[in-house]
Amino acid sequence: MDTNLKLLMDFIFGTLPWVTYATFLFGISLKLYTWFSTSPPSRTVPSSISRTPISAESIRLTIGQFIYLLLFQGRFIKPKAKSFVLWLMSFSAHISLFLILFGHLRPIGVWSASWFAWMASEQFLTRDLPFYLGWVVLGGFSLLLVRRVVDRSVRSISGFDDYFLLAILITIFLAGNMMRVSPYIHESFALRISPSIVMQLKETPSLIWLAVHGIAAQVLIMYMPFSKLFHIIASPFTILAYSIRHGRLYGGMKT
Amino acid sequence: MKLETLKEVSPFTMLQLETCARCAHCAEYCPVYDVLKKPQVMPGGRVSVMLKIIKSGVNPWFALYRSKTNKLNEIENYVENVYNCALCGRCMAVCPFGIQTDILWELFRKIVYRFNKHPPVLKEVDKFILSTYNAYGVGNDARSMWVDYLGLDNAKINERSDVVYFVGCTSSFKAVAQDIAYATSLILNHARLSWTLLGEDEWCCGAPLLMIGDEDGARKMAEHNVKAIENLDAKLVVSACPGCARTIKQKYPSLIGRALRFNVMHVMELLDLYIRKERMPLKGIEKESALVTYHDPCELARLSGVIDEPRHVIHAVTFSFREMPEGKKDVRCCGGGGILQAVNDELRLSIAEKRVRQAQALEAEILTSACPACKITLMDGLKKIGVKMQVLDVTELFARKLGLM
Repeated sequence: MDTNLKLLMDFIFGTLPWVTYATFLFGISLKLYTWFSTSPPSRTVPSSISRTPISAESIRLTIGQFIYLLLFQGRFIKPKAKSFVLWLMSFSAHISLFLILFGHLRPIGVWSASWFAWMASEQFLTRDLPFYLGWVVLGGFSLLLVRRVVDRSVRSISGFDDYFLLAILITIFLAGNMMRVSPYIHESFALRISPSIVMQLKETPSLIWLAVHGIAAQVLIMYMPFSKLFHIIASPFTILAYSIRHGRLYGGMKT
Repeated sequence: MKLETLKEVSPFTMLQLETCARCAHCAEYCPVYDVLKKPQVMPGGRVSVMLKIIKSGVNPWFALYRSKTNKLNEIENYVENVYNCALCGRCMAVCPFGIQTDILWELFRKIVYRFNKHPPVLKEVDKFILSTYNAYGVGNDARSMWVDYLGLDNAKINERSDVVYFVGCTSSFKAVAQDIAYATSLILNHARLSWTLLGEDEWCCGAPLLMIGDEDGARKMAEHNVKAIENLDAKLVVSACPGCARTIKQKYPSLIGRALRFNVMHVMELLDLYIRKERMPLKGIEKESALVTYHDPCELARLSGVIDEPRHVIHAVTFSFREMPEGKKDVRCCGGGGILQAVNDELRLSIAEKRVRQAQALEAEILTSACPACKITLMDGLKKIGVKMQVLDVTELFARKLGLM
């Protein structure tokens, strides 16, 4: 490997991660500090909704609501083509994104493709599927960017944060996909990420695209607590709270 | 604005505000945005403004969170848009993250009220509700006058009973809605229930005050009403107004700081229960032959979960029923909520127009609802577009078919 390239890789995956972790933790701490600074001095009496005992019907409704929201079904409430397209874009992009993130855990050794051998061949799970999913995510986020620019209502409430995040996401996935389509060396490659994470890759990908991918991903992580991307962390809690409330409201609250 | 006093926002509220990804999906469904097309009234846009205001008010030394404080005047200009909302909760129902916007909007109004930035017309409304104890600013001793006007015999007022019928301001004072009170009373009699009115002792439920942002005022109303009801040893409070029923059931415990010693039902829930248990004599009734449709009141369907009950009641007395589009939990608001009539009546009528046009497209002959405010708004909407269609509350339809009125 070229010395300059090696230095660059060392910086991106050796030094920069420390900055990334520190910035991320600082952002989260700042956010929590801000939230708890606004906390009411004394606890208010819970509403009758939160006092309602949890019944079997409430639990059923809660689970139903949680699944409904988790599958982005809230978006699909009105059977309109526009809503359906948005649902398809968001749902496919998000599901593919999580599968790809899960896939990144395999070279670290968290899981093995052999665990899922009953489902498909190793070749499909580790090479073909991530390849297609990468394009699905890229297409989904690109369409979301187009929607933000073209749709008058979305554009009217969009700011720098909205465009910047989509641009970063698109960069990450474009670089990731380019790593797969660019010529690569048939030699195994160990990518060391600070503090001591080692990704064992079967082949050596294009290091330039790997560098772009690594930098963009870390910028995203650093920016996450300060941006609306925080919904990735927060939404399971809001969805759960909504589900519990409505499970009670439509179940236990009724006489 | 003394933003440093913004200390009542809970961490969970902050979490909800920061979860909004400004996807603007809510814009598609918001009846107000549908009419005004202004980004400030879009739920996602409102969340951004609210977050800006709150962040500017806490931790003044954090520069990152104070980047917009020099634009406070600009923010103040947004404040009037806080009240351009029907509080229908549809944005909550469609939000992919389950952000409970109904709670956020109420809090936002509370903050604006604390800074005394609410519209002058609402300052007047707030003042007269607190002095006259009703939402129409007339003497509260006139609250039960409809009993005499309509010739309701043997109505008990403020007497010990199992059931208290909480009429609500609109059905008590607005002539066009008084038939709902009359019909409900006749139905309660027909069901042989021991029931009473509170008469002068019934104060505004507090919902309009909460909509204005005056939580202390609403608390005063809640404390009085709970005391009045509990003094009569009532086991159940029934109301034909979904706003009153919801406020008493869902909000009074928080307002007064304890659980209620009575149950609360909307009259549709009670009727459905009595019909299912065959405690409401229905034999020999002549069912309605005209085509009936039903508009779900937001407070009853989406915000209280009472969706099937009114339909069961309607089916018991009609032959021909057709569902409206955008109904049930996804109901399109008629514009009658959120104290919009006082703030922006033109907006209310424009929203109503869209809803009644949907009923018109169904070729319905009778448009029903289960809320006095919805009835008035739907009638106004029909008047605006010059269409003649009968608007009835389900209680009125039911009482008529039972031959009670």
